[in-house]
Amino acid sequence: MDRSNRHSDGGTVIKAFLIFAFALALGGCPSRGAAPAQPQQTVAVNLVTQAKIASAIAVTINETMPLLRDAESQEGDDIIHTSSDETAARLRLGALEARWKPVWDAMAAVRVAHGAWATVLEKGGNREAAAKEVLTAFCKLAPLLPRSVPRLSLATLLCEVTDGSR
Amino acid sequence: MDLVDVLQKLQKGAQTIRPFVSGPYEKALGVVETTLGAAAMLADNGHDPVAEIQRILDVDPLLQGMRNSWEQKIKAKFPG
Repeated sequence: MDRSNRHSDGGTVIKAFLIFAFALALGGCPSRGAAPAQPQQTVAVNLVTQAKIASAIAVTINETMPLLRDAESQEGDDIIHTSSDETAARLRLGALEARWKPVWDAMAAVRVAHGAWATVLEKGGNREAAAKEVLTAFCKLAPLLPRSVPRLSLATLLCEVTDGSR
Repeated sequence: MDLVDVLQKLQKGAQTIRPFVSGPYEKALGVVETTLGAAAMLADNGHDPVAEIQRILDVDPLLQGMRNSWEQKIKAKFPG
């Protein structure tokens, strides 16, 4: 119970910063109507903030990945525990891995998109497009996340919030 | 001289007077040093946000570890 609550609290925070991140990345770019008085300062502040948020997203996902892995691992342990012979256990584990594969594939896509976004933040480029790629990849992952790992599941609300803009 | 240099010099200045300070003032000086150091670091990061961006880790090693664990458990439960 406590653990669930803790995850829910974390999810709320994550949702908030993800929305903040993409609001900054998509709407906060100087090309989207920033005040022209000090354009260089605006760019610098947005870049630093986005870089920190990109890092925070990576840290959060890196902390969440073991939770997802643990969820699959526990299912596998249960399969081994309840299987009557090795063949049946391996067949059921194969089915389990097939069920989880889309999650890990989508996670890999988020990783690629996030890496590209980070590189754009580091070296320059179209930050808006790069951030949109992260959002798109994340929203493909979101519906695949199991409810047993609510920490990121709550962040999936981001996709509903931004659904109209995609 | 930019902000980072100023903050770093202030931090070093605070360190040089440390041998001559004792008691509660020593603790306060420690706080000042730490604050100046943190401010310098933040200011420096402001110049170069690049170094701060972390990447999402590759999940493959995690999954491989999980599969290895299953393999061991299968062999333990179904020997031979």
